[in-house]
Amino acid sequence: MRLKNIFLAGSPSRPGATLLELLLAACFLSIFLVPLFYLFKLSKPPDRKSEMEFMASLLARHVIEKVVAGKVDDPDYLPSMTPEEPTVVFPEGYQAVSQYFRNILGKDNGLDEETNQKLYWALKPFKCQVDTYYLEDNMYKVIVYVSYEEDGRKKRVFLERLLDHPLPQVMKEAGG
Amino acid sequence: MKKGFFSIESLLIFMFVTMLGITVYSVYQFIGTNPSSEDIPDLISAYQNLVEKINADARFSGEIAMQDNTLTLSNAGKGAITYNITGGNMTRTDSVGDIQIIFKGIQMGGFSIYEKTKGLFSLWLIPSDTLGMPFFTSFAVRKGKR
Repeated sequence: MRLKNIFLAGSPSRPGATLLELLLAACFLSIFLVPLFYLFKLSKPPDRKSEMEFMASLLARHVIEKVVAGKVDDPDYLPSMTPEEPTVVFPEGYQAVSQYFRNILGKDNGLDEETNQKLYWALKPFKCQVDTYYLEDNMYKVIVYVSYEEDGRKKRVFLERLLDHPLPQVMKEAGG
Repeated sequence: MKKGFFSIESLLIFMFVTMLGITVYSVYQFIGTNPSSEDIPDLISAYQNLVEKINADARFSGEIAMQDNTLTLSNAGKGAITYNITGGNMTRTDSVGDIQIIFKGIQMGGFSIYEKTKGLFSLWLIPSDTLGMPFFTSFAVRKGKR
């Protein structure tokens, strides 16, 4: 009966909506808002790549390219695994600079503040870690992680590269 | 029977106008913020283009030569490509002598090569925009290999 009244609302005998009708309308309205929510979500611009993330990807790229160049120079070259290490010299000196960043800009022990102040401070928040694995089919996998802190959270970017390299005889025997 | 405050027609009209307004606004937002490369900050976008260009050249090069702020990548088959950082710009000169500005607004910058790793060079840039992030990365010459 009530529903019938709603749809006959245009008749002159019906002056206004009741609370129930108001709630029903609000209910419909909220259901209709669901696709609109998705439309809003779709129209939202994508998350911008932050400068920190971009710099981390550039540094990871530096390490991968260094590995590739080393492999091109010497086919027997294999990059070594390293823990998380700074990319520039820390004044306190308690942690060694990552070997992959040790000789950038002609500095054997890593970039320091005196050499290039702006670049030093740009690279200082980043740390580099390299993991390596022997894989089947004579492949060697290198994963470069560059970590940093942003908005109070630790984040990291990684790049990986497969290198051709035969499994060492010792490992072949152990596997066989 | 308890009577309400609004007529159902008013509610329906209100709903219709609200929905129409939200839809029009959403469409406007979607068109106005269409995901594209324009959303990426200009500097990062410029750096990305720079990396792509140099990477494409380095892939087919075999030799690196550096003198001050000039770096030359040589390829036995295709000639040499020269990068130069001067006057706040980075230019690329191809094997036929065409000069192209590939990055503008440099306060300081330079190349770096490595004694132990012959096929590697690094590029660092400090943009003239003091708030802009510096650039540092490296490229390996691959002699056409991946």
